[in-house]
Amino acid sequence: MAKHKRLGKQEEIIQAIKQNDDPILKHLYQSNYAKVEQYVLKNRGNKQQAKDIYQEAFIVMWKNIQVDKFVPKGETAIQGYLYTIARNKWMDYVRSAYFKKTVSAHAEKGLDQKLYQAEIEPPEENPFMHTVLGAFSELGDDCKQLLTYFYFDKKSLKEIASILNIGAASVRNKKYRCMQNLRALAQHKAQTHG
Amino acid sequence: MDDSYFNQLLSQEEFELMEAYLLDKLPIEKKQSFEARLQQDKALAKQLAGIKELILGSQLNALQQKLDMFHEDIDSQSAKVISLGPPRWVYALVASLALLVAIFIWKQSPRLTEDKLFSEYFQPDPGLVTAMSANQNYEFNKAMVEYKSGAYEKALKSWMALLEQKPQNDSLNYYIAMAKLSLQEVKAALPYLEELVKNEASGFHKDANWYLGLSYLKMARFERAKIFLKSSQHPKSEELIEKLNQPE
Repeated sequence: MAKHKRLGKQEEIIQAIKQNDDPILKHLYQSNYAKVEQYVLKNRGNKQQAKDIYQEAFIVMWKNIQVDKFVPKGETAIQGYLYTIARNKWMDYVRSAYFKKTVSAHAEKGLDQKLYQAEIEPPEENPFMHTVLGAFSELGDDCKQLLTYFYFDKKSLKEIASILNIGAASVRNKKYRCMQNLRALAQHKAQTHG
Repeated sequence: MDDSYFNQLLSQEEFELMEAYLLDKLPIEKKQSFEARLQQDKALAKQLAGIKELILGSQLNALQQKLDMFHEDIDSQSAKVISLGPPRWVYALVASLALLVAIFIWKQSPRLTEDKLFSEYFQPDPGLVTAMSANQNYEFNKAMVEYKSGAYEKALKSWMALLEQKPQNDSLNYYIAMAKLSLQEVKAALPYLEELVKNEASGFHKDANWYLGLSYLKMARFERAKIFLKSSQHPKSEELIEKLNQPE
């Protein structure tokens, strides 16, 4: 029987994130949330804001890992990376909210006073992404499901065919039609909203 | 806003070529040929960028939904927390004692490899009691007799045929996985076990988690293994997870 290559802990997690491995994503999400929530609550935020910031940070981390922009150094590198992104995002928000008001820096004793450094460079935001996400939400449920199976769950055409109880060739054609629909919806939105 | 990403007609063939390129599924010669075209054709490059955004958008939408689901679990777990309990210093004391015990045990027992751990903890399911009679379960029961006598290949042949008619049947999925594990076909057992762990109502759910954890352990995917071992609530899961957490 073939010997399986042993990956380091961080390397294994990164490979799992790239494959959108559900148990690993879930475990990573749930085991790191409390620390971020604590930080946000300590720095004048509330639970909803903590959730929003954390999810934004998680998505940034996910994107950077997809394009190999993150190289782990150390046994808890990913967890630390996620926390740092969230912390910096909250600091960004706090500074933009509070510094525009009359409250001075000296009065903000409750805030984390560590210097904000651009430790994490978020991936460039493409202006079309909001358009595409909006377009995706308007697709029919069957297209949403099929595109999710193929692009996120990384299921093969054969696996999807088995789930949907249709032939693999039909899945392939349907996927193309769904992507054409998505293109058309995105184009319409781009033209409408300028 | 420049919407030239989307305003050109795109044949299925061209779309699938670009998709394969973006998903890194093109053979090397085709990839190089495509990249050469991209260098020369700016319109093609823009089309590719558009497809890339559509694929990323599909992924991000799915990810966002997953994150919301994960968060619902956090919310429901924190709602169950009961505020009464021992004072914090008790937890700190217990944690310190547990750490001392763990260090003691670690010093006594060297870390074992994934193969040795798998061999130590894997016990194939003994199988079901069968009554051989000419009823609708005859083929299943006949294969169970073969399984119990160690004729795993024969048992698999019958069960795989039955699975084609009943792909969601949890008994079939479970014993096919058991037969494959008994044949040391760990990777081949995964899809059947993964099907079972999704079904919390199945009587095989906890055992499937245990064997799935052992399978990933055998494949040296320790982080994944620990997740399923913990979910199994098997009497030996904590002990095994502790061994996996020991540094090498």
